[in-house]
Amino acid sequence: MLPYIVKRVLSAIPIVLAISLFVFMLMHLAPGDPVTMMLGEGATQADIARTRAEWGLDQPVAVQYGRFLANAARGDLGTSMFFGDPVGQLIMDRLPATVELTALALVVALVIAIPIGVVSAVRQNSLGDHLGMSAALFGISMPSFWFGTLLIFVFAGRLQWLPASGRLPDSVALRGYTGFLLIDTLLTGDFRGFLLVCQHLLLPGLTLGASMAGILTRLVRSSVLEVIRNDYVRTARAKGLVERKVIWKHGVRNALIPVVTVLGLQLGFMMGGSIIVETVFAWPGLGRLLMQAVSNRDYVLVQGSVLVLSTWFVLVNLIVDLSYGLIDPRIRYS
Amino acid sequence: MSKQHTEKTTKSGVSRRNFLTAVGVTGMAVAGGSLLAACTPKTITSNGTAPAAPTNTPQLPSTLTIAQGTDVEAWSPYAHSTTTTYGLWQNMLEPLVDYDFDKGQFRGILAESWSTADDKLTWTFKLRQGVLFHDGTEFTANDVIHSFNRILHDKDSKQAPTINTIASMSAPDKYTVVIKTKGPDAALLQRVMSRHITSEANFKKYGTAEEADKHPTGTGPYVFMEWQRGNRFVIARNTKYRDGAPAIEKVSYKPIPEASTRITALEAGEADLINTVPPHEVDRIKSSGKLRIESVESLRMMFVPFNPSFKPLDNKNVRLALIQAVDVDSLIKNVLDGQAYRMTTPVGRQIFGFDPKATPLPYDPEKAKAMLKEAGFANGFSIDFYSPNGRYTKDLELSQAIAGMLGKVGVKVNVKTPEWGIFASQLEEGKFPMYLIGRGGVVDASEYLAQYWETGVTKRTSFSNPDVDALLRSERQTFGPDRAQQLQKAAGKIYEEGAALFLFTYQDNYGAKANLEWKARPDEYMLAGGAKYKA
Repeated sequence: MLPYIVKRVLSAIPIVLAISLFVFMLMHLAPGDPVTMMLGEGATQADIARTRAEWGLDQPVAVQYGRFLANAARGDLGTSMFFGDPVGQLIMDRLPATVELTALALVVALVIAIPIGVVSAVRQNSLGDHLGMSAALFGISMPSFWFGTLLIFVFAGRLQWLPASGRLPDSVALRGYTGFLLIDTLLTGDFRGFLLVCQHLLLPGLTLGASMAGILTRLVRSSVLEVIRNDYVRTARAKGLVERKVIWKHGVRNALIPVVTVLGLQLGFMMGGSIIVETVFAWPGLGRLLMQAVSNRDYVLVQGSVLVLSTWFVLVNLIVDLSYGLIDPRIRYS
Repeated sequence: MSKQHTEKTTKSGVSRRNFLTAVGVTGMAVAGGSLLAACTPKTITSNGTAPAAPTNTPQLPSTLTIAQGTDVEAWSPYAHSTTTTYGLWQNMLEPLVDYDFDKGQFRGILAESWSTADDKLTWTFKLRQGVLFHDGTEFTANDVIHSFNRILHDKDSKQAPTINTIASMSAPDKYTVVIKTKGPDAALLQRVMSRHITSEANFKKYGTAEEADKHPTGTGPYVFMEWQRGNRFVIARNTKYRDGAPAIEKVSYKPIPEASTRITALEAGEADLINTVPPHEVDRIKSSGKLRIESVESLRMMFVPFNPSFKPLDNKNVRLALIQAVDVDSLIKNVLDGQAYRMTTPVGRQIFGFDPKATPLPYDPEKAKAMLKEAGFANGFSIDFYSPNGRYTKDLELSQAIAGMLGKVGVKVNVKTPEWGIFASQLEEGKFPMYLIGRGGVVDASEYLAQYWETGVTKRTSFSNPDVDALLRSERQTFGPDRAQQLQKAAGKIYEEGAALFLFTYQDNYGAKANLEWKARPDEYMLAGGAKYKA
């Protein structure tokens, strides 16, 4: 398997490079100018020209890209034009918040999608199936902006059970080692802190997980439906296996491959794509950072973030491909 | 037979279990959430957490959480040009002068007095003596020069344009700063307002701007405690502040970009004070009983500049016709629930240079039609109108309403809404015939009028009128009390020329706990200094 992994990682390098070149060109071709955004309302033409020169934006695009690549190869992603901090540090500061949110969303999605999808498939066209599919359609179609605001209104505003925003209350300062608050609180044995972190995670996690759950539920259903009609499932029943085993061991397990594939893609999207949820819940994650970077035309930060996110995407897909072997032992890597 | 068997076992066995499992898991999740909510106190003092207010303090809260739409951008206090961020830094770092909005004049903060020489280029600032930085070192003239040099020359400084009229600076003694400007600049005080002074000793101690900026050291009523980017910015009161320590012990600024989330955070007690409450949410806060609305007339002027390099806006009568075709009072009443103040001149009411005697052109669509007909546009014409979307309160709605009103006099207006990044840069390049824009942070009209309507300063309007240019030049050279009149004259001429459709200044709404005493400033700065809780 090792040669396979090495081959995959090596083949990912040109992909990541191509993505970064594409994004670089796109950012420079798109209308808008970072310096105008930086200097604000009072800037004159002379100020704009001076700042452009200071940031090297008056250089040809090819030179700018070459410089970016040379620095990136040395592990230096540059300094954000808008935030003034090193891009690597900005991303690392925001990454834990997004990873925790994505992880919870994933759990929410799986916990909802697998049972409902399987039940809907096994009891096709029953009332439960219709209800399950309607719920899935609801999950897919409702905008996360609306759902998030609704959850905030009900659980934070009216019931006041859960907080409306952020990762922690203002009165709390946690000792941190990793930046992952769930892990930090467990490491320091701060159980109450852990509960607080969970409280803050719940609403954004549900919002982000709900739309993914919708997609996955439909996928699980159709995939299970396809599998349980196969001969080997009939054989399993014929040999007298308990129905639960027939469905879970022979049905669901074999139905998982497309589900895991889509899950991997969704996971990739969620890392950079949870912009709306992060904005609604004032969640200090990568999505919001990327949005601020794009809207302020912070070329350096956009470029660095895209490099990190595309690497993440490639990595997740590699993990997905490797997990096929665990799901179906017949799959070999060469 | 086999099929029947399958269906039977399916119904009787697996699906029920699965279903029950699913219900169970979902139920546990919901119950778990409720449990979390129920069992966890609002403030914790457990292991690893900061203590809440000491038990021996009175019942009144000692902390203040301010939620605002924006986050601090960078460690450097000079690497931003955002009004709310200026306000946040001003708790820790002080400027030479500030504007007293009640009296309508500048007052010294770190400067005790100032004077100008006969050459109209030399400004002398006498500094307050005995002022200490948070680290105990004394504030002197060198700190002013150090800070201004950083503003002018730091690579990441976004404030250089504000003081780019400065030619040189010197410190004849510890408490005197002499500034020479490139040309006469009577509005220099507006330029040095909000230019925050940081400690030179602190900068030297850490060696680099990056390190020094992570230990913000100023002379203000609050000292820096902690910044978690995107999460919170915490400051604590400076117990040795020269005018007495502020009432609130600890203040936390929290960025919550979404207005509805900010309001819910206020209702739920996660925030004590929030900014930018939209007009339609004001009643929701007022009716809650535990909250109140603090309103103030904003400095931010909203207007629609016309670019005469686009036909037919080169025709003054066409511009004046467009102005008279728009019912500004109706816009304020119907789009903004009455929460705005009509502009009667190009200068807002609280700004130096406002002319209280000026009267705006009346809303007169019939006259507008007649003027258009006279100008050769009996059948109207078609024009692109660029509008921001979501940058200012109800901006797109306003633009659409304006387009509707212009449509009634035969002008077909295409409202275009490029994303703000595109909008801002194309605006600078002079690519819009007419656009909706806001200008805030102005207490002296000089710089703003020049920026939009003096020949060659920016391309924002491509407006050029020798009389306006002469009036603005003369205003900058007038250092006495006559300057207000000069500004009024320049503004009057700009208005007369139909350079823009001047709309209104906003009413800024802040939501606050009912027992929080805090006064809003017209410049959007949310200072914690004067805040206190009442019993």
